[in-house]
Parts: sequence; C-alpha cells; structure tokens
Amino acid sequence: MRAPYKVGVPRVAGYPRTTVEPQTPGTDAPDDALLATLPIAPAVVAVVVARDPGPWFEEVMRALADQDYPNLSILVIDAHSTTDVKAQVGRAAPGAFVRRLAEDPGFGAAANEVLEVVDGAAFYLFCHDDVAPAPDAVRVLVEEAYRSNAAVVGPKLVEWDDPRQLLQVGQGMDSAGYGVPLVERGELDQSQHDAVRDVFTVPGPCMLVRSDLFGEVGGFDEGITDFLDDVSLCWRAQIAGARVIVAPDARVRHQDSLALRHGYDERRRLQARHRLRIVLSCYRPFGVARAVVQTVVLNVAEVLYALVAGRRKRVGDVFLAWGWNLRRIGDLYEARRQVKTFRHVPDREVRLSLSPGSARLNQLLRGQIGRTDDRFTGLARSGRDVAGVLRSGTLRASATVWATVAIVLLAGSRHLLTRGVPAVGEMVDLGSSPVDLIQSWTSGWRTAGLGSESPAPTAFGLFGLLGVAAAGAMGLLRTLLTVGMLPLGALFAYRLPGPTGSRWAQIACLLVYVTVPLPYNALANGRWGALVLYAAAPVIVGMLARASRVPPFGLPGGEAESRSWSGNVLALGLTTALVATVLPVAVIMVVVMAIGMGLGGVLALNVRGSARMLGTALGAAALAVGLHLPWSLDFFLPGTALSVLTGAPSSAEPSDLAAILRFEVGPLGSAPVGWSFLVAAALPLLIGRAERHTWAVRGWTLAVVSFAMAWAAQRGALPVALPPVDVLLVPAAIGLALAAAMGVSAFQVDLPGYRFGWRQVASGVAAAAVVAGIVPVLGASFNGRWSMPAGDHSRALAFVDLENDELPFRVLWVGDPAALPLAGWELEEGLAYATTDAGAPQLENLWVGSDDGRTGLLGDALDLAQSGQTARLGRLLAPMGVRYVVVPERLAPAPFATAALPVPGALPATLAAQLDLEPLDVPDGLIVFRNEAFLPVRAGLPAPAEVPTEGGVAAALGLDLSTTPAVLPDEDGHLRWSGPLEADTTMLLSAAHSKGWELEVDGEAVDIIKPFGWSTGFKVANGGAATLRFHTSTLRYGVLAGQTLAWLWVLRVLIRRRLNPIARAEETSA
Amino acid sequence: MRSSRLSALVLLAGAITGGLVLEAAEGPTAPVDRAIGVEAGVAIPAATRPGTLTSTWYCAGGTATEDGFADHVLLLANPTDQPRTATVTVLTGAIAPSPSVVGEAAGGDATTATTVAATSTTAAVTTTVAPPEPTVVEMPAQSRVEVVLREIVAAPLAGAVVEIDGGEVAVEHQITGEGGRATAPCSTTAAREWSFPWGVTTRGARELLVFMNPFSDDATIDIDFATDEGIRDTLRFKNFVVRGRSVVGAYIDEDVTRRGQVSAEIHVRSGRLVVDRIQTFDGTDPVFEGITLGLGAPTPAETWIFPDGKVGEGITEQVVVYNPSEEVAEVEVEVRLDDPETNGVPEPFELTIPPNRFSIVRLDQPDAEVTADIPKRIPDGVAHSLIVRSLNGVGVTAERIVTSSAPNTNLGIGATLGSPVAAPIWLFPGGGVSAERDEFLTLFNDSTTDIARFSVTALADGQTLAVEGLQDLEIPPGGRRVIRLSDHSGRENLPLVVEADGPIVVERGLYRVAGRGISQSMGIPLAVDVVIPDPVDG
Repeated sequence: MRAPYKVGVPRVAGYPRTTVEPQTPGTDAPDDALLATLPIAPAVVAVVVARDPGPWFEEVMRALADQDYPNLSILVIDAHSTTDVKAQVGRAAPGAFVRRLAEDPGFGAAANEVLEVVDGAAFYLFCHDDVAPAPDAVRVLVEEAYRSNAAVVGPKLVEWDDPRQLLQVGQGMDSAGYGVPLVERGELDQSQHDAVRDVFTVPGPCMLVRSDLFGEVGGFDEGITDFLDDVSLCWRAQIAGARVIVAPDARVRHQDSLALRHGYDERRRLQARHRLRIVLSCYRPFGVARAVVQTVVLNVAEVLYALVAGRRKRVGDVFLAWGWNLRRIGDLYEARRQVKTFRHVPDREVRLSLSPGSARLNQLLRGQIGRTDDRFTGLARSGRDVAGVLRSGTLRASATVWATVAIVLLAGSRHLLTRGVPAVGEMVDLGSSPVDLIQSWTSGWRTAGLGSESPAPTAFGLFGLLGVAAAGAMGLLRTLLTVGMLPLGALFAYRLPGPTGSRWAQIACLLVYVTVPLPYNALANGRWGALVLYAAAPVIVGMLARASRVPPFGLPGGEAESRSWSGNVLALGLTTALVATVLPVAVIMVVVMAIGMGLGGVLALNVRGSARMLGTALGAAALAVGLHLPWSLDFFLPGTALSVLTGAPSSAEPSDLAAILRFEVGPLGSAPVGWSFLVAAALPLLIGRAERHTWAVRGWTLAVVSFAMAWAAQRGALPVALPPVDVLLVPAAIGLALAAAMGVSAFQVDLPGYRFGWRQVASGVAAAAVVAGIVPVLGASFNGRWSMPAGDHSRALAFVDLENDELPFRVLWVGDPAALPLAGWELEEGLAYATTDAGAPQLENLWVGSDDGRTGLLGDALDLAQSGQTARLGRLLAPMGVRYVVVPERLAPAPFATAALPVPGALPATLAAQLDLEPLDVPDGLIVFRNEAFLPVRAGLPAPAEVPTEGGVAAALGLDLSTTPAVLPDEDGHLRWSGPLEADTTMLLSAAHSKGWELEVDGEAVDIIKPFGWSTGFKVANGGAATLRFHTSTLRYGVLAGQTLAWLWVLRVLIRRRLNPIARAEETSA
Repeated sequence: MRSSRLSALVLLAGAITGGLVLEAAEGPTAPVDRAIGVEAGVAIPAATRPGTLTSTWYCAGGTATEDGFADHVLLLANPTDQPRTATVTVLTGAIAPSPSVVGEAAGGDATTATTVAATSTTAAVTTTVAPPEPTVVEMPAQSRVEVVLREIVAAPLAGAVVEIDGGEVAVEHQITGEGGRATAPCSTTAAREWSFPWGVTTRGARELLVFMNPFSDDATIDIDFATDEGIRDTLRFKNFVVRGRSVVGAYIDEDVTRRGQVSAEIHVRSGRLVVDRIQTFDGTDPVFEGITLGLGAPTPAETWIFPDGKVGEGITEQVVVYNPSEEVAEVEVEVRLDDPETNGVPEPFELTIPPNRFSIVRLDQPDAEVTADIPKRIPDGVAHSLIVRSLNGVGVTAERIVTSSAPNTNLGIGATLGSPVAAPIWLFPGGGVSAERDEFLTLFNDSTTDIARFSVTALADGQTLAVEGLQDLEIPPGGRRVIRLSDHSGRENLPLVVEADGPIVVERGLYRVAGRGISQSMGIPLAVDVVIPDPVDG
C-alpha cells in the first residue's frame, strides 16, 4: 500500500506544510477588494475560470460568495470571454478578484494562472463557470481534506435544475485512461453514495486541491485544453503520493455547460487525444509500453466496432488522437520529464488504484459506445440506456448475427488462414519482397509475355507499399487481400442499409450477402477479382445511392446531402480505382451498376436521382481511369483486344440461367435452397411502399441486369468480350441483398398498415428463405477452405523453379483462361497463353496488357503448330527463351482438384506431336513439355553462328540453337545482369526489341541489333566484364510521381472532407 | 404506387421468366456430337496446303540391309515450282524377339522397359535418346527424289522422319522383297490410336507391325486383337515399350497364331507413334501370295470410300470393317457397279458390328441365302466402287483386300484402307510404268449430282507434263473412272498430280506384269478444299 501524502509531515522530497499568509491580489483585482481581517482558517482561493458564461454565472458567483467558509477568496479568471465578466462578478461577488486573459488557453492553462497571481493559499478550489456549491461545500471539502489527509477532494456533483439527480461522485479509472463512473448519471440521490471514499479522479467542474501539491505537479497539464484535465491532475497527484477522495457531503450543482458548448464530435475527439496524452505522459517507460499495447488493442477493437456500427467518425478519432500526440512528441517528452521530477509512487502502486480490466472493452462488449458515449454520460448511464436497447432485441440480434457470421467465416476459412491460400487462378503469389514489386512498378520494362515497354499496373506499386506497411509479410498480406474480402464485403453490406434506420434491415442485408454462394464459388474458382468486387460492391452501391439523394440515402439535411457531386465522384472514383487495381474492368462495372439502378428508377416510376447516379458513376469511372494513368493507357492502345481488360473467356461448361439465378457458378448454390435469395428479396416488391419499394426495385433491376449479362456471357450472345461470370454476378448479389433489406424495412414500416392476409404470410416465407439460405454456407464452412484446392501447381512444378534459379528461361502457359494461374492473351475461344519469367506465376503476371505485336509471336508460333505447319514448335519458341510449355487442365493438379477445365481443340495433340517437345511425367491435370531446342533468355552465340535479323517467328525454324550457353548469370538488381562475355559473341536477349536495353563490356556500350526482326541482341567484338540493364526513362518516373500525387491529392481531399465538417459545409455551401 | 408496383413486378418477373422460358424452348443442351473428327493429314496422310511453313512425314516400316525382306525406299515428290529441302532423320531398330525369348533383348522388351513413376514434385526422367544426325536432301521443283535408307544406315529396321521446308509435297515409301513390291503413303501424323482392320496369321502368312517413335520419350502401348474366335489378349503387347527415336517391329503371328482374320487395335498409353503393317504371304495358301505395306487408321470415320474393286475368276475381294469404339456400329457397305443400267444396283451389305469387333464382307462369294436361281449380288467381272458407311454415327475403320491368283498371270495381294475424305487434288509420288509394271488410277466422284472434270499431270524432272489423253476428262456423278497409265505414258518415273474441279477420291494400283506383285493404295490428297463425305447423304 502506498503511503498517502501526509500533510504537515516534513519529507525529504515531499511538501512542507504551507504557512498561510495574506493573499496578494491580482493586478486586475479591484482596489476595494482588500480583506479587512486576517484569516482564521486555512486560506482557500476559489479559482473560477469563466469562458463566455451563460446567464447562470451570477448564481455561480453568488453561491461562492455565500460560502460559510471563513477564509475563502474568489479569483475569477476570465479566459477572454466575449463579454467582460467583471460586471457580473461585481454584482454577485463584490469581493472577488477578476483576472482577464488576452486569449482563451483552455481551462487548465487558465486555471494555472493562480500560480502566478496567488501566494499563500492552502487550497485552491477550481471551479468551472457553471457550478454552484452548496453554502457549506467548501468548508466540508477543507475539513475532509484535513480529516482524510487528502490533497485532492471532490464534491458530489448534482444536476443544476434538479439537485436530486446525481451526476458524479468521483470516478474510477482503467489503465488506458477510460473512466469508470461510480454512480449512474441521473441516479436519484438518496444518500446512497454519501460515504467518503478514495477515488481515482474527482469531478473536474469543482475540486479542492492543496496548493503546494498543485504547484509541485505544475498545475494542470497545459497540453490539455479542455476535457480530462481533471483526470490528468488527479493521476499526477497520485503519482506524487497524494490521496484523492470524494466528500459527498459537499454538494455542488452543475450546469454541464462546457460539454454543451463543445460539439459532440469535438468533445469526443478532445477526450480521445487527451486520454492518450495522459497515458503517454504519466506512466514510466515500461508502463507506457504496456499501456500503448493495451491502447492499440483497444483502438483496433474500437475501430472494428465503429466500422460495424457505422460510426466512421470514431475511426477518425482513434487515428487523430495518435496523430495529435505524435505531432507533439517533444511536448510529451517535456511532460514526462516533469512527471519524473515529482514521482514518488511507482506505476505498480498507481495501478492498484486503477480499476481492473478495461472499461472501454466492457463498453464495447456491451454495445455501450454510441452517441451517449462520452465522459459526461459514462458507463453507468449508458448501461441503463443500452439495457433498453438490448431489451429491444436489435442490438443483441445484431451482435448475435455478427458473432455467427464471424464464426462461420473463420471456420470456413480456417485452412486458408492457417495453411495459406493456394496460388490458383487469379490468386497469384505476391512474391517475396515488396521492394521487387515497387521496382516493377517504377521500371519502364514489363516482363509479361516477351516483355514490353507498356506501363506497369498500379497494383505493383500499391501492393508494394502495402507489403512495406506489412513489414514484408507478403503471405499475410495476400491472405488478407483474398480471404479478408469475405468479412469486408459482409461489413459493407451491413452498413449499406444503415440510412433506413433499421438494424433488422442491416441484418437482412448482411445475411443475404454473406450467404449468397458467389464469394465462396469465387474462392473455389480462384477468382480474386470477383472477390474484391464482392467486397466493394456494397460501398459502390451505397455511394451511388447517396449520390441519388433519394431517401433514405439522401435524407434532407442529412449527411448524404452535405456531400457535393464532386465529393461523391471523388469517393466513388477512389473506391473504383482501388477495385480496378485488381479488377480493371471494375471501371466499367461501376457504370453498369449505375445503369442498372437507374433502370430501376424507371421501373419504379421514380427516376429521381438516376441521372445523378449515372453522372457520378461516369465521373468516378473517369477518375479511376485517371488515377491509373499511365497503366490505363495500355487498354486504349490501338489493337488492344477488349479481352485484355475483361479477361479471356473460358470455354468451361456454361451454366444455364437457373444456375446463374442461384449463383451456382461453382460448388455452392444448388437447388432448391439456392433459390432462397430470390424469394427473400421478392418481399418488398409485394409489400414495400414509398422509398422502400423504389430501392427494392432498383436492387432487383440491378440484379436482373447482372443476371442478364452473366447469361449472355455464358452463351456468348454478345459480340464483345465480357468479364468472368462471377464478376458479372456481383451486382446481382448486392442488388438482392439491398432488396432484402428493403423488405425488412417494409416489414417494419409498411406491413402494419395492411390488414392481416397474404402479405404476412409472404413475410414469413421471405424470412424463412433468408434462414434457409444460410444452410448451404454453414455446410460449406466445414470444408475449411470453401472448396478451394488444397494445393496448387507449385509443388508439381517445383523442378521448374529449381532450374530457373540456375538458368534463365521462360515458361509458356497455355490453357483455358479459367485454369491458367495467371492472366493470358487470348489465342482462340477458350484458349489463352501467357509466360512467366520465374517459374511459378506471381503478381507481375496477373495483368497482361497489350501485346504490342511481339508477345503475339508466341501465339503465332502456337497457331503454326496447331495448323500443322510445323512439328518443331520448340525451335519456334527457342528464341523466346521458352524452356517449358505448361498446359494446366485443372485449377490445380491431382489430387488437389478434380474438376476438369480441359483445353479445347487439339492443342495437347499438337504439342505431343512436336518433335522437339519432350513430355514430362507430371500429376494429372497438368501437361508439361520440355523444349529440347531451348535457348536461354540471355545467351551468348559464338561468332560463326549467324542470327537472322528478320523473318519473325519462322526465322528460327531452321536454326538449332539448343547448345547455346547462357551468359550474364549474375543478377545485380532489377533488370540488371552481369558476367563475362567472350569476344566475337552475339549476345541474345529473349525479349522484345527495345532501345532501353543497354549492354556495356568493360565500360563501353555495345551496339544493339534486332535478331529475328523482333528480339534484342548485341554484337560483342571485344570480350570482357559485361553488364546488361534496362534504362528507364526519366519521363516515366515523372509520370509515376504525378500518379502518386494524384492518389495522395484525392486521399487528402476525402480525408479532409471526412474529418472537417466545417470545410465540408463550406464546400457544400459553395 | 399500385401502378408502379405492378409494372415493376411484371417487368422483373417477366424478364426472369422470359429468360427461363427462352432457354427451355431451346430444349436440352444439344447431345454430344458424335461425329468423328476426320481431318486430312490425320485420318489420312495429306500434303499440306500452299504457304505452309513445313511438312513432316513419318515413314515407319522397312528394312535397311542389303538382303532385307522389305528394302525401304522413300519417294519424295515436289509438285511445286520451288525447290524444297528435306531433312531426313533415319530411325533404326529391330524386330522384337518372339515371346519365347523375351528378356534377352531390348527394343520392345516389356520386361526391361524403364518406367518411372510419376511423382508430384519432379518430372520423371525418361530414357531420352539423342537425336540421330539428319540427312539433308534437296528436292528440285516438280520432280521426285528417292532416298534409299540402306544407303544411309544399316539396320534390321529403319524408319524415317522427313521434314520439308514447305507445303504441297508428298512422301510415299516403298518396300521391296521376295514377296514383291508395295508402295504406300507415309504418315503425316503420329497418333495415340491405330487400328488395322485386317491381318492374317495363318500358316505361310506373317504380319509384322512396325512401330516408329519419332519423339525423344519412350512410348508404351497396349494392343487388343480381335480374331474370328473373339478378343485375344497377349502378354507381350501389354505395356510394350517403344523407345524414343527408334523403330521396333513385332510379328503378331507369334502371339496370335493361325488366325485367318486378325484385327489389331493399338493404344499408345504414353507418347505417340506411327505404325505400319507389313503383311507377307509365302504362297502356302495359293490364294494369298505377296507383300502389302500400309498404315493403320489413326482415327475412325463414318465413311470410307474405295474407288476400285472387282471380283472374278482368280480374283477375290473382301472388305473388313472394324469397330474400335465401345458402341455397336450399324454399317452399310454399298457396292456401285459400273454401268448400273446394265449391271443393276446391288443391295448394300448391312452389318452390325459389336464394339471392338470386325465384320467381313466377301464380295467374291455368294450370299448364304443365294440359290442357284438367283445371281450373285456382285457379279463377276464387273468393276465397282465401294462405300462403307456408318449409319449410326459410330466410327469404324475399313480395309479392302484384293487377291489375284491363278489363272491370272499377275499374282499378289493388295490391301488398303479406304479414303475418309474427298479432295480436288491428289498426289502420287510413286508409280511408273514399264514393260514389267503397269499402273492404274481409279477416280471416284464423291458428288452425286455434279460431274467432276479432271486432268492428270506428271512431274517430269523439273517440269510438269500434262499426260496425254488424260486432260479435262469427266467422271459422272457418284461414278468412277479407271485409267491405265501405260496407255498414256511410258515413263518409269511417273509421279502424278490429279486435279479435279470437285471432290474426288483417287486410288492407285501397281501391278507386276505376269509376275508377283500387287500394290494398291489411296493417293495423297492436298489439304485444300477437302470434303468429308456425309455417311447418309453422300
């Protein structure tokens, strides 16, 4: 037990008893304010900080003036009130001193003025300008200070207008600085809390503090402007060894005007930052570390909760609090240094006074964080309110549903989380180093195909940065970016119907969206793009809905209306750009979604807002394209096939319309339960009224458009390439979820207006359908990997990776686009090809881009073989550095996958009939050939061998280059190799010709040639140490810098608008 | 609200229901098309079209020794006006020992075969053989080149891969031995399935299958035999290994002994092969005497056309139809007699062939129910063409066997697969006429409605020679025309090009004058405007 601060007991490092001496009036004190008599009791100075007080102020002053304490002086610090308070003070408390400040430094700093102007007082009574102590309050406090040997004494705070209601009787504190109120706010005062007790903090509006302690601890922490300055003072007092008690017999009425004078958001924000400051400044180093960890954990939980609960501002609070404190790191250091000077009690003893556990966590778990969450209302009060909410069932139901969803998602993904996500389909490996990705982004050379100077996808840079942020944990990042899309989509879906005000509607939306088979089938099919769009679709639909300004998404005067068109475009554009990072066709999908919802307006005979939605979507799409410059230019180059944007179409067995309507594009979704989503979403069409009907129709139209596109894509009915069917079905999923949410809302709002009949039955059927839809997902969760293959091609092709470590070569992948573990160029319907430079595909291989006419030579070679024009495909592929031709016929080889995605036509037969391709023995589901005529990617051809400089792909047919040795083995960095080169050698680089390639031998540049009319080579006359590298132009760096600035600008504008309501309001008014 | 609700409901439900109805109206997904993927160049050797980068030909069967029983010679014809270069890679091998001595030798020895189990982490290493040194052969324009394999290598068996730097060329190969001479097209495909409808292993007959593996990896095969006594399994031909870049021969009669009819179906379990059959008869049975050379059928087809045919005294003719599928085949063999107004139109032969079984139509023999009062269905001495059709879409393979024996002076046996395609241009690299040798072309017009006009051109050492009397001739619809080349030319070296204005099928017969030797084979179509005859309407 720590030793309390002993008044009057000399201590080496303690505080000697202060001699009470006559007061020295402040310079601003009235001339007639001198006291006539000497004190007969310890001098107490009531320090009232007045900051534009209200009409009650004179009552406050009178209450102080009427105190029965015989030696009480009053000092009013006027913190630059708009109207000078001297007159009011003079009328109510003629003996009071008034000191006016030139500016308002905040309560603590203003109160600290007492240290400057008062000398000789035994106690200070710090008062807000909205408290009225009972006549005996000061006396009781002083008596109790002596009786309990306390340095800080607080009164019982009661309601101003109704003193029977308790506001505060001191409070406890947890180790993260969250208060634990001891009474329920508004609780009827029946003397049940009238015992004197030790507390951690006393009510800040009125507190008696020993003047010597106050001076020693440096007064209030002036880094804290308002709110929690009392907590800081009490905490530091306890560090100094002082006792903090509450004396409930001293009763003080409280107007609570300070809280009202600050906006709710500002109040909460100030509390968050000041709480963190207290934690960071009051603990010793080890304690700080412990508290930081604890606080971070709490913050994460709070952020998650806030996201779930749709309280985005709280997310900002957390980050702003950290930012605010980190910006004042020097000030924090000074505060800690000061604390160190008076610390007499170690942290472990202070902790004994703290409440065990986490008050905040308790609040989180009990759902008590809401609008009522601030220090002035506190846990106790919110406990009563929340109890009511819980009794109402919605929050409890919401919590239950979320817990269930979380458990099912976790259980269903357990093997993916613990054993990793297999690299199948688009779920490529992100690589081992984020730096490599960033280099790939900044480099002017893309390795896809035979290489090109086309711009690199933004994803390289973005994922590189994310990888850096993840401290290089690329595997973890990949898991989050794939499996993490499931809960993200669920979260956004839950929030989508938030503006309806119905938590049941949110629950319905969540349930329908998470039980739609689409994301699980997307996982099973290796469709990353579909997963990302699934996660973002609720956000996109929500933004479009808000852009429409049609209720409930655009309530008059509500938040939605406060955002301008440009704000909507920025937000949606950024979202679209983020999705397009993985799924470029998202730029088009956003417009399609807007069109779908707009058509819904026509159907519902309420077209209001449709044009705004479409305009916003078009603007957002344009912005997304702009944000992806220069990469997006690649899609618009002449000759670029649309399939480069949409992905090459698969020839897999098409689904019929019924299967599409059930989202059965994978292992999940079979009838009859698969129909439940349509049934559940149909309810609002039958019973919905007003905006609920309108939005349900919009959701349905969105779904129908989506279904129609998927159906058309499956049948090949449209003359243009369409994205994979699971991507096309994402809008349908969110459309039905939105309709289901509107159904619940209609059930709550509209159904009571009908007489009992079929509508009630329909409601029951819809509810049953929602529940039924859960069953298949529950069943699928037992699999632990959502039917994804348990492994991928990497194990079967490990030998390729091993060889690639020693020898530079490419792997040519040919197969159905759905089976290829990378993106490819379309060779023919249902057949695509692509290359990898490093064996297994990685993120660099996920987007192909335009083939700029040279990568197409790979396709030409395959065409020649397929048309029977050669039995020496290996020779044709040799100058392209292709050593292996891999034909995957399943998503993963046996035994990991069984569903066949065979290549169409006679491709396997063609390859098998090639005289220079050696078939290898690999597991079923893979066909692999080794090219016996292979030429290393960097090869040194001896002088006698002549290399044609024209002729294209066929020029190599008559050449046997299989014995050409590899050169430049040492990789010195990104796109840079070195090694010795012999004289009279033709150095061949199996890459599309580019002047950017530079070869230096012994420091001298070598002239570039163009072997085969498309490749890159150098005629080396004199041997020596050689270095080959690709020179990226300065212009490219400039363009990338511009792109980075564009992203940052959009982010900055959005964050500013999100966090600065004033700026937003100004913008809106402008 | 009521109107908007109704309109929305009707339109949304209508859209979905409409789609479902539309899909249902289309009926169930079309049944899997069982049409056989017949392709010139695969189902039948074919010259590649003009502008083709390269042509590759596989010539499997023959010997390359001075006293070989089937001296192997390649016949390369370049009908174009551009010289070509052929790269000939000779693959050698031997005849696999008989089952009684299995284990003592390599080449096709199942017991010594190296098989490496597949693992999930590494590719199995096969017994890769270094490619043999190729021989470059110049092919002057519009000429024929002969490559004698024993002049390149010496080996009990030798096959060749011929790679030519362009299209429109054709390659045949010819074997010569005691049994006479046989000429047949080389293959333009290496396949995983080969079927030989016919084969004889009776006393005095030897059936040699020659397996050529032009690829670096070993091939493993299984062979199923169907005889007149049922299916025959042999131990030797299970997991029979053909090493990479080699040729292996195997006498079937050592395993399937003394059968008058043996159909062989070869399944290549790993890799791809080219398979030739050399069937010899020593005259023990006076009807069968001579030697035949021919490829198997790499794919079944629904229609097989044989332009030529004749029965009579000393001449037998039979058609063997083999069903390599797992379904029963309903087959019709139509015989189109010359001059049908005079000779009539015989009823087609109708066959029901169980899976993996064969059926034989003996055209020279009367039907079982024929009485003395009723004439034979196929009259003696009336030439005809044959069309084998599968009526239920099940692919079959069909081979025609013609023998000539006393009292004819020309003795021998000819066996050839039919043609599953028709084309306007046909090439014949081999052939020629002399005092000892005669050559016949038989042309069949695949069209039942249009007359086909054709011309025959010879390649004469750098120039084309329009064969006199064989220009702009007609073939009636569905009819045929037979040409005796000795009536029009006396050239011993007589590679031919037959060009027509419509799809025709042309076969060639080479006959030793007053001696042993008959060789019948289909021509080599140019893969341009190729027509797959319709089995029902054709």
